[in-house]
Amino acid sequence: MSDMKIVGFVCRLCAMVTSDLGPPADSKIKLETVELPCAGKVDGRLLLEAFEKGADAVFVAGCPEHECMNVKGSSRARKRLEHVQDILNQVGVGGDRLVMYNVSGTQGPRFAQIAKEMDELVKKLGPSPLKARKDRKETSQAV
Amino acid sequence: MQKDVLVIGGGIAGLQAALELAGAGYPVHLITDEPNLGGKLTDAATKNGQSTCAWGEQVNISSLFLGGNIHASSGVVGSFITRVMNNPLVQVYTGTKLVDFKGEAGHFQATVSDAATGKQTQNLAVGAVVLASGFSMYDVSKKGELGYGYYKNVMTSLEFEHLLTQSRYQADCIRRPSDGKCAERVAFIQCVGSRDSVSKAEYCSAICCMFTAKEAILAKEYAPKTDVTVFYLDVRSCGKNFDNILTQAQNLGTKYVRTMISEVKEDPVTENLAIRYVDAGEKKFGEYDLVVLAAGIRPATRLQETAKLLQLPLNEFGFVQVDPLDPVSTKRAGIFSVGGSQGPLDVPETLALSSAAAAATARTLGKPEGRQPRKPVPERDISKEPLRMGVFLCKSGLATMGADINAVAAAVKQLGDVSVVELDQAACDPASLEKLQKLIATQGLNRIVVSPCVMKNNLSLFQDAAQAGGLNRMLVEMPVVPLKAQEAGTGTQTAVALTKRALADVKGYRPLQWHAETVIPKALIVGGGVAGMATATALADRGFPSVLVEKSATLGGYVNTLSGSLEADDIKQTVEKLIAQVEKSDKIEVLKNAQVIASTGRQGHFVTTIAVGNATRNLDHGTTVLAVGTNEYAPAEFLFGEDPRVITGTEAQYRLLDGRLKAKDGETYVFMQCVGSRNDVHAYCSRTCCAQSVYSALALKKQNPLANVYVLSRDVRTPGYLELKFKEARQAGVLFLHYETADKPMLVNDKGQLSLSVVDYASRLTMNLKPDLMVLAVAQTATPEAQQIADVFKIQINEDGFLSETHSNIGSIAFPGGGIFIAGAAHGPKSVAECMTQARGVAGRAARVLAQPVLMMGGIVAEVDPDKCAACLTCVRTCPYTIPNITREKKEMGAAFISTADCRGCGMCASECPNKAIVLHHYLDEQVLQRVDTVLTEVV
Repeated sequence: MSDMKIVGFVCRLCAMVTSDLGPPADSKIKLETVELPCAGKVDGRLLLEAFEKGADAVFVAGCPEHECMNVKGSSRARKRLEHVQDILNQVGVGGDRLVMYNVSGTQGPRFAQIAKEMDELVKKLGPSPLKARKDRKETSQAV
Repeated sequence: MQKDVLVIGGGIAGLQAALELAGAGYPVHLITDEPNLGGKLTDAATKNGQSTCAWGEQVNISSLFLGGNIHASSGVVGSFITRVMNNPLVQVYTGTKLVDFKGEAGHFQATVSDAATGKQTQNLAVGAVVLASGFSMYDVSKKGELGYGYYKNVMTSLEFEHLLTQSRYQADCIRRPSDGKCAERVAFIQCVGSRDSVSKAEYCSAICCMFTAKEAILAKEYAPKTDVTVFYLDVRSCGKNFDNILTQAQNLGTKYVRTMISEVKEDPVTENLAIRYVDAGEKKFGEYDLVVLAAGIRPATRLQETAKLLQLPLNEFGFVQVDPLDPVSTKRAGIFSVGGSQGPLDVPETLALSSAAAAATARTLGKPEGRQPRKPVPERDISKEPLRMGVFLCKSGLATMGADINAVAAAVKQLGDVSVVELDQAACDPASLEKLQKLIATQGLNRIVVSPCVMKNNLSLFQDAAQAGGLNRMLVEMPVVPLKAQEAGTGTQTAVALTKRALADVKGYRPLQWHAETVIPKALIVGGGVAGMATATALADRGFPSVLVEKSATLGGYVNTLSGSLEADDIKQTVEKLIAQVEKSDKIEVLKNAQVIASTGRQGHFVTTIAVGNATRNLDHGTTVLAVGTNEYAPAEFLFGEDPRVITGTEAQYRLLDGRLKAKDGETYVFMQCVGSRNDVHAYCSRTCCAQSVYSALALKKQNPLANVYVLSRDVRTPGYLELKFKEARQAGVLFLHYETADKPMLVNDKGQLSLSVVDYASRLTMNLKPDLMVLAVAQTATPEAQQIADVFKIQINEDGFLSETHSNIGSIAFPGGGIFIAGAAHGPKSVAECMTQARGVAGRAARVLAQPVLMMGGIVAEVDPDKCAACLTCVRTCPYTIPNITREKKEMGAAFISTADCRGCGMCASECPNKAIVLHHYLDEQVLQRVDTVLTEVV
C-alpha cells in the first residue's frame, strides 16, 4: 500500500500558504502538491492526466468560496470537479477519488487533516484501476 | 535635513518600518542588540553541529505571537528578514546598541557601539528615529506560588511551544520534562504577571489569550487525547477572526474555567500538579501532568537605557508614552515609537503602527533624495542557447533537512545537464546572491535552481538576482524544505530528489516579459468617516491628491454620534479638526451624496465611475482606499424600541455629553454587553463596546456615587492599557457581573417597572435588578454597502459581512489584487484611535504606489491565440475582473483580447476556453503536466 500516490492541486494564494506545513511528520502519507495560481485554473485535462500518470487520488485545495481571492475561482473549480467526477465514474476509475477542499490561508491544522483524510480515502479505495492496468502492461511488456 | 533614518530593534516592528521606509526611498540604519534579526518571532538553531537555517524549525515558535494565525508559516517572518538583509537602502547592525544621541529632528547624531563590549563605536547622522525595541516576557519564577523553577512540570507558554515542536515528531504524545511521561492532562493559567498589581503590571498583556488558544489547538492536534483546561479571568479574543480560533479550541474539547488560581502544588511521588479552584461557587480540585503559565509582557530590557538617551518619558510600567490618537509620535519631534516599545500589541496592530510610523517619518523628513534607479541589466536572449543549468545548494537549508551536505553535492554533480554546482552557507546571503548573479554572466547559465530553501517567499530574491545577472527572472526554480524530511532521517535522499524535480521543471520554463505602465498619482477614498479623512489628510501631507467619496451629506460618519471614548475624551474635537482640515485642503476633493458604481483597471491606473446626485463622472486614479465603516446593530430584543428606558451604548454616551443623562441617587443603570455580538447571527466580537460601557459606567458612577451601576458581561474585553480603566471602574464601585449565554438575562416590563433577572456566574445566584435605564452594548455590523463595494472592486466579504483582506496578520491592510487598501472599521470593528492608526499606515502604503512614475505589468498573464479564438465569449463571462473583450484591432479583429497590463493571472479563462485558445504563461498545460510528472516520478 505504501506506493499509493496522492496529488493535490493547490491555490497559490491561500491553500499553498498552509500546505508548506505538509502532512504530519510521523505519517507515511505520500502526498504531493502542485501549485496553481488559482483553484479556478484546474481543468478536466489536468485532473484526468494526473490519474493517467499514476495518482491514486487527486484533490484540489482552494480558498473558501466566500473568501476566494479571485472572487469565483473556488466555485469554478468545484463545478469543474463535479463534471470530472462524472467522467471518472463513467470510465470506472470512480469519482470519489477526486476531492475538493476549501482552506483559508490561516488554517494549518486543516491541511494536516486533509492529508489524513486523503490517506484514509486511498486506503479505503485501494490503488487506482488505471494504475493497475498500467502496471500490468509494463509487466507484460517486460515479459 | 538628513534623510537617513535610524530604526532601533530587529523584531517584526522594526523590520516592517525599515522595509516601508526603504520602499519610500529613505536610507535606513537598523540596529539590534540581538545577534540576529527576527526578535520574538524567531529563534536560531543548530543541528549535528551544523548551523541550520535561522528560521528553519521555528514554525511553531513564531506562531505564538502571531495574532490571527494558528500556524504561522516560517516564511512569514523569514521573508521580512531576507527582504531587509537584501535591501540596498537598509544597513543592518546586529549586536549593536545606542550609546549616545544628540541633536534635533532632521539633524540627529546617533552613536552606536557593540552591545556587549561597548567598543567599535560608529557615528550615524540621521533625520529621524523609529524606536521598535520590542518587549520582554515576565519572569514567572517571581510568582513562587505557581511553582515555576522548582516543579519541573511547570513551564511558560514559550517553553510549551518548544515542547510541542519536539512532540511533532513523536506519535500521539506530549512528553513532560520531569520523567518523559505522556502529559495527558494539561492546564493553562492565564494572566501570570498581567492585570496584577502585585507585580506592578495592571495592564492586560493582550496577546496571551490568543496564544493559549493556539497552543490548546496545537496540543489537541498533536495528541488528540490530551485533556486541556484553561484557567482564565476574561477571554480577550477581540481581534478580527480571533473568536473563530477560540471557538475552534473549544470545539476540540478545551475546557475554559473562569477562576483565579492562587497555588500549584506538586505531588512529590508522581510529580503531578494539583490545583484547587472555585468554579461557579463550588470548590473543585484538579490534577494535571503539566501546567503552562501564560507570562505577561514587560518592556524590553534595554528600553530604559535607550529611552534615557533619546530623552523619551516612559509611562509607569516602563513603556514609551504616546498619544492614543497619534500612537506613533513620542514627546520628542522626529522620534517615533512602534510595536512592543509602547506596550502590549499583537502582530496586526504592530504592523499597522510600523506602516504609520514610516508615513509619519516621511512627513517629517520630506521627499527622499532622488535615488538613482538601478539601471536595468539588458536581458540575454537565450532562445538559441543550449541548456546550461546551474544548481546553488544552500548548506543551511540542507542542514535544516538533516541532509549530508557533501553527499548531496556529490549526487547533484553526477546529474546530467548540470553545468555548475555551487555550495554556500546561506543562499539568501547578499554575497551568495552576488555570486549567483556573476556566474550567470561568466558561465552563460540559462536555468537556475536554488536548493533547498526554507522560505517559499525567497524565490523572488533569487529571481531578482537572476535578473540583475541578465537572465529572465522566470528561469529560476527553488524547492522548499518539506518539514517532514527533518526527522524522518531521509534528508539526503529527499534533498537530491527535490533538486532533480526542480531541474526537470525549470527546463520547460520560458522567459516572460514585463512592460512599464504610467501611474496616475491620485487616490480614490471611499468613505468620509474618520478612517477615510485621516487617509486623505495623510496623503495630502505627502503631496498626493485624493478624491473622497461620501455617501451622505456630511463628513464624519459613525463618529458623529459619539462623544468620547476611553482612549481620549476629545473625539468630537478631533473629528471636527479633521473635517476642517479635509475641507480646507486643496489636495482633497470631497464628493458628498456620492456613490461608487463601477470600477475597472489596475494598481496604478483605475477608472472608477462615481454617481454624484443625478450625474456620473469617471475618475482616473492610481490607488483605491476603502473606508466604508460600520453600522450599529438595531436589536430586536431587550424591549429595544418599545421602551424609552432602553437605549444603545452610543446613545447613552451622547446623552452623557449633552447633559441629558445625569446619575441620580439610588437609581439603577444597567449596561448589557454583547447584544448582537458573539452569537449565531454575528459570531464575532464587536471589540469597542466593552471599552464604551466601561467609559460610560465609570462616568455615571463618578457623577454620583449613590447611583447603582451594573455591567453585565460575558468577558470584559479591555486589552492593553484599557484594563486600567476597567480597574478604575471597579474601584469606583461599578459592579461587573458575568452572565452565561445559557442563562441570558431577561428583561421584562413589570407593571411599568423594568425588571431584569440575571444569574451571576461566580455565585450562581439569581439577581433581580430594577433598571431605571438599560444601556445595550449593541454590535457593530458591516455596512450593507460592503457587498456592493465588494462587487464593484471585485473583492470578497467574509462570513461576518466585513471586507476580506489579503491575510489577517501580515496583509491586513491590503486586498489581493494590488492597489486597493482597507482602512478603518470596514475591516472589522475598531475604535477611533485604531481607525486613525490604520488609516495612516494605509496612506503610507498608498503613497508608495503613487510615488512611482511607472509600474511594471505583465509576466504571468493570459494570452489569446486569435487564430484559434471563435469569439464565443466564454472568457468574457468567466473572468472575475471583466478584462477580456472582443477586439476591433485590425490584426486580431473579432477575437478575444486580454490586456497584459490588467490581467491578474488567475488562469480561469485559460481552463474554461473550449478551444484552448488561451494560455496562462508559466502555467502552460505542458508546464503544469510536467510538474505533475515530476512529483509522481521523483520520490522524495
